[in-house]
Amino acid sequence: MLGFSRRVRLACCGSALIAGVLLIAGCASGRVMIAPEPPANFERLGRATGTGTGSLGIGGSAEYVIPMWLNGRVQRAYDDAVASVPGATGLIDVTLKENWYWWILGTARTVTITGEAIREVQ
Amino acid sequence: MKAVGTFTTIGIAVLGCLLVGCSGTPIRLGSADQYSGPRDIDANTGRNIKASASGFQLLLLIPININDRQERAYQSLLAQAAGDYVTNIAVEESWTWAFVGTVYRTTLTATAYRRAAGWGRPAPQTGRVSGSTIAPTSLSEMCSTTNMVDRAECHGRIRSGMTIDHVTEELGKPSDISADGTVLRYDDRFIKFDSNNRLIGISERPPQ
Repeated sequence: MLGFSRRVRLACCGSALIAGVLLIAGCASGRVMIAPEPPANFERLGRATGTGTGSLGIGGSAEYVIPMWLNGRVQRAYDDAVASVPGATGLIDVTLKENWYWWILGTARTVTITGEAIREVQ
Repeated sequence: MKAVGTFTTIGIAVLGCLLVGCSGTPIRLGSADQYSGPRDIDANTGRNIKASASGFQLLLLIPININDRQERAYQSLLAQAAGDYVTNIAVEESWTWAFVGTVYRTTLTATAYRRAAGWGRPAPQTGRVSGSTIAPTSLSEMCSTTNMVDRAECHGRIRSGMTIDHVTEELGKPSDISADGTVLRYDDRFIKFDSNNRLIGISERPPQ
């Protein structure tokens, strides 16, 4: 039978371990293909631009560790850029840029993807 | 009263620094000949390349190597490609809490293909031969040439498919423009555009 103080210690260690794993696992965007090999035949549709914004905000303490839409910002920017030109299926000549700003309770980062929208033709 | 003035000045200075220092360096992705038709590449030589660069944001406010990390990662990726054809570029952004700030990391992955023999221009020198090995060299060293057009092309700042506006944006005002407006001359380099104002070639002689 474990004593009360030992159980508390184990619970704290377990919580810290889980928090650590979550921090490590939950802080990556995943790989986003933003400049794939274009199809053999395509039609150029014009310039496309898309943005994706996310923040790292204040947590329960004075530290800022809560991601808010942060990890998916690159994918959203790419999807937004493709969707900005009707009929587009992809982008070529892609440019990637990131800006950030501080908003007191956190830092926001905006990814902007620009390129030329294309549509594959047979 | 004096203290209020001091605080106001500091506040304005901090806000100014925040506004100025929060813009990342844009990077253009892909090989210069990626969109100009069939590629002379050896499809059997595709290899995965990967590069990353990090920056640190101290206390949410102070950027340390943050704004250019994507460019550094891309330059590192190109150095690994060593002049090969680069395509299928993917990006992964990650962050790690570091108690007094946050580490941001950009990782780029791509596929590099060797050029087929006889492709366009001579292959760029990508390293220094030392005995039986080739020491790696930086992209800026690899692209060190006095000709601004060659240098811009080597760095990927001008490429096939770009418009005249984009090219003049990168290179400035040309020395000369052809009567029909499809050829720009920069010293001894001629940049040819098609009827849609897209860059289709760079040569040392006036195009026929």
